[in-house]
Amino acid sequence: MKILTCIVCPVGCKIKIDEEGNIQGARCDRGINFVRKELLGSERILTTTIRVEGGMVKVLPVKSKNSIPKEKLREVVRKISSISVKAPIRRGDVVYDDGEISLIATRSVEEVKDV
Amino acid sequence: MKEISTDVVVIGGGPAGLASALRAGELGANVVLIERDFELGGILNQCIHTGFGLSLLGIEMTGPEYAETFIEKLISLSNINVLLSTMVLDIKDKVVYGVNRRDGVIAVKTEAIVLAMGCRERTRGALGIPGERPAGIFTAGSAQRLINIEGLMPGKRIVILGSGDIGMIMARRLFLEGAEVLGVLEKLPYPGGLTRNVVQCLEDFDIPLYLNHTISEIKGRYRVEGVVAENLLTKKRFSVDVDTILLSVGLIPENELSKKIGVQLDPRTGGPVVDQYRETNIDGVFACGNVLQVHDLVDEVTREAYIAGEGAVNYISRKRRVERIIQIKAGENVRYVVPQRLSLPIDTPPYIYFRPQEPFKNCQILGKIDGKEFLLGSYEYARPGEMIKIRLKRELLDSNLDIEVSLIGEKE
Amino acid sequence: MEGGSKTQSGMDKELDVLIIGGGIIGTAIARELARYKLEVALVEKEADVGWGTTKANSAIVHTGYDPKPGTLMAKLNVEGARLYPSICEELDVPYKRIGSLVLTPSEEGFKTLEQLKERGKINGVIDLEIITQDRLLELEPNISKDIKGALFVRDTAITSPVELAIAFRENAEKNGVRFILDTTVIGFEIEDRKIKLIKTDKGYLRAKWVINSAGIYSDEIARLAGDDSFTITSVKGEYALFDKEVGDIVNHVIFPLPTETSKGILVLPTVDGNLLVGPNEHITTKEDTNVTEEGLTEILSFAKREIPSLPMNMIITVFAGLRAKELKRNDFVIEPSPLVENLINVGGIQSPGLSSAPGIAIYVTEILKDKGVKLLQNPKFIPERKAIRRFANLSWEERSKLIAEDPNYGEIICRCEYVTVGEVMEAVRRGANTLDGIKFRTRAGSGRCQGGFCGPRLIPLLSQLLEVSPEEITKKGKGSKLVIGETKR
Repeated sequence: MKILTCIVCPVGCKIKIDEEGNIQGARCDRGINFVRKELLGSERILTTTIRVEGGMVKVLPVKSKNSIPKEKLREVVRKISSISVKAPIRRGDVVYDDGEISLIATRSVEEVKDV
Repeated sequence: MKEISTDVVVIGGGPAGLASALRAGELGANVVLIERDFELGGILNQCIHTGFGLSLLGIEMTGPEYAETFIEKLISLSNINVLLSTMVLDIKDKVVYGVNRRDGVIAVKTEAIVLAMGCRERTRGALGIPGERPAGIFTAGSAQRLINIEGLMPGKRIVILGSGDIGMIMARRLFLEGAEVLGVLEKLPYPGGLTRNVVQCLEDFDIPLYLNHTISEIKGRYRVEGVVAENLLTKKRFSVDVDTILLSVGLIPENELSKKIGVQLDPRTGGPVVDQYRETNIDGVFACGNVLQVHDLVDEVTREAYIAGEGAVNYISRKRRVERIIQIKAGENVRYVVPQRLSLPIDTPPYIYFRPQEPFKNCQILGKIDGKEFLLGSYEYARPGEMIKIRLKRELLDSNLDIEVSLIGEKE
Repeated sequence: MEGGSKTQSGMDKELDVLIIGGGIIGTAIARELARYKLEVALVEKEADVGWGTTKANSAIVHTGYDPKPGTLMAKLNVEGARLYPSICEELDVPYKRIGSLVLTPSEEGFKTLEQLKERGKINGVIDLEIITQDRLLELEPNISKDIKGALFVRDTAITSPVELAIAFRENAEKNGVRFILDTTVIGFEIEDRKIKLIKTDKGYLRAKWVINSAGIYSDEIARLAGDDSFTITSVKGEYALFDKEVGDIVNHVIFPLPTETSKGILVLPTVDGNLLVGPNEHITTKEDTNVTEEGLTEILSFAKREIPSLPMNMIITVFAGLRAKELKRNDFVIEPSPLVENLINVGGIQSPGLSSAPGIAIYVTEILKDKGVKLLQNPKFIPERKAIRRFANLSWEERSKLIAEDPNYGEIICRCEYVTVGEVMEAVRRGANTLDGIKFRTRAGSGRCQGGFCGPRLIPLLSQLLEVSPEEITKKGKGSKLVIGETKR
């Protein structure tokens, strides 16, 4: 018998999975799906920042398009730590894609116009 | 001095300010939104993690995405004037005084004011933690700003005091950025923030959570060298070598301006006493968001801010009629209730927000008047770290009597 | 040119006078010597002036009734206190004559108050009045009804010690004194009982006369030169600072009855409107500025007995300072060294050190004169110094004008104390190169959020103004880095 806390929404349902695979305690379908995926391997959406040049802000917040295995998160952050993108950026732009992971800008960044 | 006139001034351009300005603007009022930072968004700009918008918009977003959704709508309205990099210093006789580089001193004459200044973090000094005063001690939000806005890393070996949401989220953030997070210390026997954060920020990365623990001493003269952690139950102490301490020990609504103009504050919330329209004791002055009560979810901040924005517009157009006022009191096991008053008559019973004093399970929320009890709702779990929103019952509103909200259940 | 915080140029030119130690005493002496045509330099081990005892004390200018008559303390306290108003006016430093009350919880205590009054008369302090409970409660409505009466000392004042040290420094620099900061004296080369060379961790200095005003370490400096004529004991005092909201819970400096060794735990307003409680007294090491749980309890419970309504949840910070006491002499040690011909010791400057500073500076100058040093007036000496204009204290018209002249004054960076970027830039121009240096010159970071808001904004700003990378910005020098680098390389 396993008990997992669902993290899909702030309610945090405590969901029980017994040896036969029966799922109890989820208040919605997203919780059931979460638990099914979780049992196969914990994956998470990565949110982090990457450097941006020529913009109104110094770093650009991004999120991964798909969820990533939990164990790989730190490694991915280290891998992308030397990337830099150029302003202007539109929210939703894919600012990085190496075939394995894809990062989406979560905000727009205006270009700084030199006066 | 530059002088302008408007219908509604909203002080603060974070989620509460954005939503109240937007609603007031949509309802046709002229709005001036004053924000001290160089862009709108407030605290959302540094909350790069997900957890925003699921309830209100149906999609789970990051803080910046949530902010931009509202900013886009707001800047498209020509009757909303945004003043950025402008700090409000004083309010006198419905004139709001601010300063910025471009205008110098700006005086905005207005009919209604919406206070949306958010909150600040409790400090180490206020806790009186013994020891030295080295560099390397940050409040969690301050460290979050350093990392997510300035792109600077506070340290390499971190200990976090306080298991509020910000503390836990920063534990994960620092871990992912390559720091060693030695643990989160929580003085209470239960975590301070959302359960989902305990899972996805701490358990996911094997970051230990030490309940019933605190920091009893800080070591290091110039930069933090270590802390002495103490188990409050056994009194046992142990040393931890760290170069950075993050404090997530409470948020304090930032009501210095409110106090200046005589707004009555509720000592239980640290924020203004308001009615269901979020109007304070000063006519035409409204409050919403974290300045009113510290929220857990931005979705509720937005909902509350819509109410305040609408309240401000109704105030100006003299649409409300207040015949009588009743108080809503926090009763047994309830830490506080917002709103603290109701301006009657009301058509629809409003929502109230509250938190339990401690964690409970299998509990019931009751509204009492004159000895009579009405069941407002039942919950499997009720935790201080998770605000509850519940609708009052019609029967409680028909008389002139004060309402007491209480909670009965099993302590967790 | 600004005072050399980092420059080592010209370290080999022989000075007339080298002052070791840049606390309130060293800087006061520097400014006094700047009146004369002398080559003077001051060497200080921290990154800025006033960071030892000067930054952690009660900030009181005592009138001088309290020290034992006939001591240097008594003489220099009274002389120093008399000079304070004009000095603070010249140097644009806060000085508020708020008066003080020495409380007695018992009828017997009135005898002690009488003795204090008599002692005051002998020392030359005459405006002392013994008052009973009624009058006391008029003056201080929040005092406990257990207090029977008090000695009312009208002329007690409060000031801002670090600001004053900074002002002394700026004025001394303007008048030609060189400040060598972040530099520690590590030894001397002695020849024929005279200091020939002063060895520091950054190079050598040569001076005809050396003034040892090194605070807690003054006995160690003397010993390095072969003089063991006095010993400094480090006595810690812990403090709690309260929010401005309770700054007016008392109107005067509140003293208890004094003991043999100390003036006791006090409750007093600060010049900025906060409330200060402390200090206690405990002998400790010279490095221990640790605040302890027991110490905090000690000072807070004491204060609560005198002011029952004092709200403990309004503390914004706690800190500790070390007093330099010469326990055998029980007086200041201000004299030519008995063992080194060109060394003048200025040690054991415990309370009333701050109050005596202007008097001590003149007294040391007189010692130099007695020793044959020619004191020719510097005709170009400028006594005035203006503080950084504080945006928070200006009227709306003045603010408008200031921002029009310099838009940097329109951007507020410290929201608790209303400090602008313009003031931060001016502080950097005047020599601030650390976060604490900014704090002591502008008050940014000393408000109720204790730097939580302005901290993350000041780091990139200072990085830009000082032209260094953000990880080189420190809180208080000596490796107290704030960040370890950028998140992304």
